[in-house]
Amino acid sequence: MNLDAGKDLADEATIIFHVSGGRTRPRDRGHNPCDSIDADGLVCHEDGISVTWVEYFEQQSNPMAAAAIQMRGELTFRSTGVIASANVGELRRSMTQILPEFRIVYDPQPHNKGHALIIGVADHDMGSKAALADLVKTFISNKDVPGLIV
Amino acid sequence: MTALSVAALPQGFAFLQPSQSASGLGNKRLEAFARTINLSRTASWAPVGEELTREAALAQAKIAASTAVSEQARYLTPEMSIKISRDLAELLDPEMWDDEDPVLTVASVRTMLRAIISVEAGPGDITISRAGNLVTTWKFGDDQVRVEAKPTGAIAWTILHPPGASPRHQHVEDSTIDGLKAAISAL
Repeated sequence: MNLDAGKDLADEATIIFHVSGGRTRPRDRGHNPCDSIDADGLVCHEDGISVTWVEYFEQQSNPMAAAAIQMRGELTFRSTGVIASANVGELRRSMTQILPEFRIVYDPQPHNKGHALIIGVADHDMGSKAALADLVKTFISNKDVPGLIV
Repeated sequence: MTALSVAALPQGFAFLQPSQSASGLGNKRLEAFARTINLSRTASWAPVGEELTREAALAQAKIAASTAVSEQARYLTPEMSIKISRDLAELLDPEMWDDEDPVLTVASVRTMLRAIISVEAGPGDITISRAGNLVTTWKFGDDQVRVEAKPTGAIAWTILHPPGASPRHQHVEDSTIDGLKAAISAL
């Protein structure tokens, strides 16, 4: 799927990002893999929160796995971590009510052609980060993504 | 290397003196659950140069955190004490840690225990912040309260109100435990 860099992802798009096991809730056993993530599971860099656009990999047999592997790159993802996924439109509709400057834009990188950025959430803005984290409800355990744990 | 024995309990760890064994402590629960290990045999415990390996640092933090819980145990119900210890032990598993994350600051565990005891809301769901501080999240009706305990004794709290509420959230970066209690009372 093609989109110019800097353009907003469509409402139908799905984004994913990685969250380490230490930032997943609850700690009680029996939840697979978790119910929610802590606000600090969202890592805000200077330019925004790094995420990966799943539909960029739609030609692959397993777009989610392909996107997660591309996102991992040379990093080590541990078995306790999760891949969190969310619908762009849902995030946009809720977050623009509290952050008018909230955007999710395509931002391809040499190491990840599906890279996108969530813009408008400052790292020190714990309230907005908590609101954003609260909107993310779908999680896949790293160990359930084929080829992600090496 | 000095041999150090600990008893591994379901709710955490306890140091044993060199002359002690689990059965020698005369504690039936300890006898039932304890398993002594000699940390000098654990390769990951060995210091690398001046710094501990990540695994060793987390193991140390686990023991120190368990000790902090034990110190406050008289103010906690047995169920809370066991849950906190179990959650901390699980959280301090090296598999939970990203490579760039700092190890848990044990002083933040003490701050968190004071907050839990003071607020009387139970331990909640605990996680680790990117600063290495203990975080807990409580639900009060439709409101969610996130508390990050700092090693200084300060509390950063965030209250997330349900969608449609105005304001949607409140945040105080450097609060006291009394300040947290007042904010929760107002919910």
